[in-house]
Amino acid sequence: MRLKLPKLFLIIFLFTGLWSLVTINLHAQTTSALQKASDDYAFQYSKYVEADNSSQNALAIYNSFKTTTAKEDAFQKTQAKISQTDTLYIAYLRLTNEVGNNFDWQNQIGQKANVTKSLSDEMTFFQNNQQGLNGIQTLEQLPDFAKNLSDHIKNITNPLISKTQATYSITQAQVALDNLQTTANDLQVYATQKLQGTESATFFANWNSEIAAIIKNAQTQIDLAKQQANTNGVADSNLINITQNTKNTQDILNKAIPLFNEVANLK
Amino acid sequence: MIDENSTNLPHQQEKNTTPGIQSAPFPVKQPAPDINDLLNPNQKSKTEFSKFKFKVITIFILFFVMLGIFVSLSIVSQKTATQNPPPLPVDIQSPSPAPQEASPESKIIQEINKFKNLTDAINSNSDKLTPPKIDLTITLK
Repeated sequence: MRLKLPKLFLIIFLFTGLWSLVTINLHAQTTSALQKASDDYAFQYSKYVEADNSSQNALAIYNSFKTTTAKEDAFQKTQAKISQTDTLYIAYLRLTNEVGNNFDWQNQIGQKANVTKSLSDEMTFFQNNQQGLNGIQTLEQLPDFAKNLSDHIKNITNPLISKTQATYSITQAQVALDNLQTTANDLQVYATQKLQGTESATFFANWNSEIAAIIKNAQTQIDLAKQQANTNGVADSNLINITQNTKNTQDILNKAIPLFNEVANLK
Repeated sequence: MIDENSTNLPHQQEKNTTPGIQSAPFPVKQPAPDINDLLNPNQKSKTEFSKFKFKVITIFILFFVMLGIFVSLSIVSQKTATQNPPPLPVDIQSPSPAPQEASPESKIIQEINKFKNLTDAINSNSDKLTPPKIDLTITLK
């Protein structure tokens, strides 16, 4: 009887611990790498906004009072803001890479290696830039340093990410189109066993002409997107057009689903 | 008063009674003390303590065994879920009851689902890649 209460507490404690560990384990498994990268990007962006506000305030105070203390403070906070910009872009590039890890590249896998290498090289640039920033000692040096970084982002990083996005969209569209062809072939084999004689021949003649039209239209849209992507660099306007082309491809491919279902439902 | 269950004879009972002290109405048979208790009075509490220790250790072992089982099960179920994601619903009635081996019908449905998923995936993550709005202009007066 003396041991009953401690035993009860012990059992409750153990089961609570067990439950917590299982819950933590499940949570860790369900949080994907993409979600982690996305969360990190959002977090780094919020830190950038804080650093930007601090820098703006410190610069305003320095520009008003011109004291050495204010200058030192403005230098520290502006340097921190530039450093955080580097960190933010590293997180952004990592997220961009992780998006590419989350879809099936199938026979387009060769392109993935190129994308990964380009993004990795760009991450190295930001890491090196951060190290270079540590060598700067005066406030007067920071405007030029920040301008160089801004120009790099505008001329190299952003076009690279736009091109990567374009590659993702086009690859996903092409993979879906390739899969449509395979699925159509398999469905035809399946339906041949269900339909007999002339009924089969006329049904497939009509069905195939519908599928062929879908393939042709979808491929046209993908080719247009590829043309846009092959121009020198992918500007924002190009990316909008590419996204529109791949969206059109998606709409066209969706028209195949009722046709597939029709064959799958044959009795 | 004679206790019928007693092994002592009546005259022996009389002899055992000390004069001036009221004796018990019947002889009380005391349980024989444990020789270990007499030799070492702490031995009993030590035995109880070791029993308690044994119980605690057993519970801990059980806890870790259960933990291992839970973790293994959760990992296995997670892997199974990743390898065999549940098919998205399509406008087709799936065969009922579900066959043990994949029938031609279910294979076809899986293929259609795969195509549908690939089509849905086009541009699905583009919203995640919105570039950050930054301003690196530094104005010194």
